[in-house]
Amino acid sequence: MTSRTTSRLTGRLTGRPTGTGLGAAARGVFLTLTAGFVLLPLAVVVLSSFSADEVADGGWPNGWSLRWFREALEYEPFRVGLAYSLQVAALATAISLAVGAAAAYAIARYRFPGAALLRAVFVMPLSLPRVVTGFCLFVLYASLFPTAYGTVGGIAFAHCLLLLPFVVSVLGAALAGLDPALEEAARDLGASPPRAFLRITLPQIRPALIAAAVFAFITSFDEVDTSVFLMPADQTTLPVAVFLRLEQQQDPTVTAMSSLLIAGSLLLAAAAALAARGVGAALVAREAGTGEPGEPKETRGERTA
Amino acid sequence: MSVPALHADGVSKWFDGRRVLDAVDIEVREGEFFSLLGPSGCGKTTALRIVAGLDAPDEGRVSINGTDVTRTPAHRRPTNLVFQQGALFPHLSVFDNVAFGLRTEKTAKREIAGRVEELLDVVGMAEFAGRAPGTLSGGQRQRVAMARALVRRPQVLLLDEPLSALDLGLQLRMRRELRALQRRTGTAFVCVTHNQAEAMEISDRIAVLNAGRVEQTGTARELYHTPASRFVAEFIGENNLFAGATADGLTLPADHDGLLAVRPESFRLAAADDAASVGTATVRSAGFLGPRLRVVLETATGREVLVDAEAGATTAAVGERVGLAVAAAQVAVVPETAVPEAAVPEAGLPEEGAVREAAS
Ligand SMILES: Nc1ncnc2c1ncn2[C@@H]1O[C@H](COP(=O)(O)OP(=O)(O)O)[C@@H](O)[C@H]1O
Ligand SMILES: [Mg+2]
Repeated sequence: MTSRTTSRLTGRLTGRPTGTGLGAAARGVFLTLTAGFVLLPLAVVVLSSFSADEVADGGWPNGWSLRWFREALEYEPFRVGLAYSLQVAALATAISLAVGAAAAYAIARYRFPGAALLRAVFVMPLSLPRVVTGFCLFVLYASLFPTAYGTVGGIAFAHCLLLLPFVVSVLGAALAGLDPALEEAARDLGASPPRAFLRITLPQIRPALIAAAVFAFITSFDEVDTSVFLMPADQTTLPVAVFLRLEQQQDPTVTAMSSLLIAGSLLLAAAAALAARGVGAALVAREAGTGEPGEPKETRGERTA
Repeated sequence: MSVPALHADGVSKWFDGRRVLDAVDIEVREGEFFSLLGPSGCGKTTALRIVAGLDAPDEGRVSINGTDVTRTPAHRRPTNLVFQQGALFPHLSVFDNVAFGLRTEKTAKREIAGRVEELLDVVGMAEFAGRAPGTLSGGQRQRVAMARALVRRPQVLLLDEPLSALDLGLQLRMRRELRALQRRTGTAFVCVTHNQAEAMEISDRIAVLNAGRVEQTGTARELYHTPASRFVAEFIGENNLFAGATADGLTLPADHDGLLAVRPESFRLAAADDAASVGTATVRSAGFLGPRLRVVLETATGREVLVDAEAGATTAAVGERVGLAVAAAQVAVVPETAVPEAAVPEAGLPEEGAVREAAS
């Protein structure tokens, strides 16, 4: 039953009209060009990291080698930066998800004076150039919180400011699509308010949570513009280390590091996609588990009994 | 008298500075099928939510079997609510939806399975245990919602327009099923509806709610024969209302000069010069309804009068002048309570469908 339902569903989702002739050809060309446009820079980076040349100039390599990968992994600022960035990204993701989920929930569910203002506040940093945010925070840290400068917490906090608008809007959109009566039904059935949220609301916004988490993590991990103001040059996050090294040398060590990051991002995205799919899979498994043996009837109509 | 299963005592509620419930008093007896009847927007859902603990009253108290629960949060009340749209959890199977309320109270696994299956069986949904709610029809979802609420064995089951989303044929069948379910469980049911025919068919007693006020509480018979207000007289079934004993060219057999009501079936058509008649009127239309003939007449003053006559025995030609007869016992005196008509929120008049259904 379930597989039939699923296939019917995917059939509908992918059941686009298949164009013919000129229109289809034009669309094919357009899509190919777009894909090329997006993928070409990635290809250049990946290609040059396998190059034996001394300088990454974007051209076809004159020979092949894995030495730049070894160089990248042995380069001390990269090693330190990688650990640093992972910590910052993990902390920033955790904080922005927790705070963002609470804020999105409050905005979606409660009518209170200033809800519109709160919404605006969360969107504001988006319209502020990141370098300006970075500079403001540098001034703030320098004058009020000198201990935050150059620490995982200090940088993660700065990243949270950048991530929150995104997290709040993604989770807000997911929550807006939910019927508030569901949580009330859970409470009516004996679940305390926190339990009702965890059991009923959370599972339904799980795909949005995962998407927000992945985006937050990657954004924080990649962030340079704001971060560069908040750390001393001798101990930096990975993207800042890449940036600083590029200022001195243009050998393919940085492209090798970038290739590793591309691979890492792809793995993360794939894992997230699987996790998001897991929601549906879990329900399918449970249906199969508790369902009656044999095919339940496919009647959508009312039983006559 | 024994302790009522549910007692709402002087419950008032304001929304945005507007009084939505006005000192509502309701007493539901043990094992009773009680309906809360009123036009849409009159505060029925709000009243149920207050009993369930999902909204807090601004004034008044709620007690269940003698225990004051006014300050008890929803998840600790011995009530369960069947939501208007069912509110089934879309990410859980039918089985897990029904089991939800047992898992919150840490029931043993084996007992959960037994009770869920028993309830699904009662509502005729046993073979759908593994289905996702999204794959069910409206009637099936409603049954699951009832099973989910009943599995906790509430002391009072609250139902918010449980049948209104169903098509008419199914509605009629589900009315009987609902009543049978109530008898079988012996639980006190409080059922909200805007459909007076439904309330009359299945309820032991009915409270008529208008603009947040209880206009009258009683059995269907009491509401029908002795309406306590103009609103009840007009909302329950159909009525011909007269401002006094001598009004609209008729002289009704009543020594009361206030509001009077005569049911269409209480009038009898007679010859124009019949001594027993209380006045004459001209036939404007006559519609055959099977057992009855619905005759619409107009008095000399232009007042419209509805009469249901026995179809076999009556001939009424359009344009004919006939006499109207009515026994004194059939003229109901309607107390004139000052009901602020303008305050009726969304619908000041009884629902169209409800009236038509009552007529058929
Ligand atoms: N949460 C709320 N906020 C503001 N007004 C509300 C709210 N809930 C209900 N109302 C208003 O209260 C009145 C009664 O609503 P409701 O109890 O849903 O009526 P019914 O169920 O009889 O149709 C309506 O006018 C409705 O607009
Ligand atoms: Mg309602």
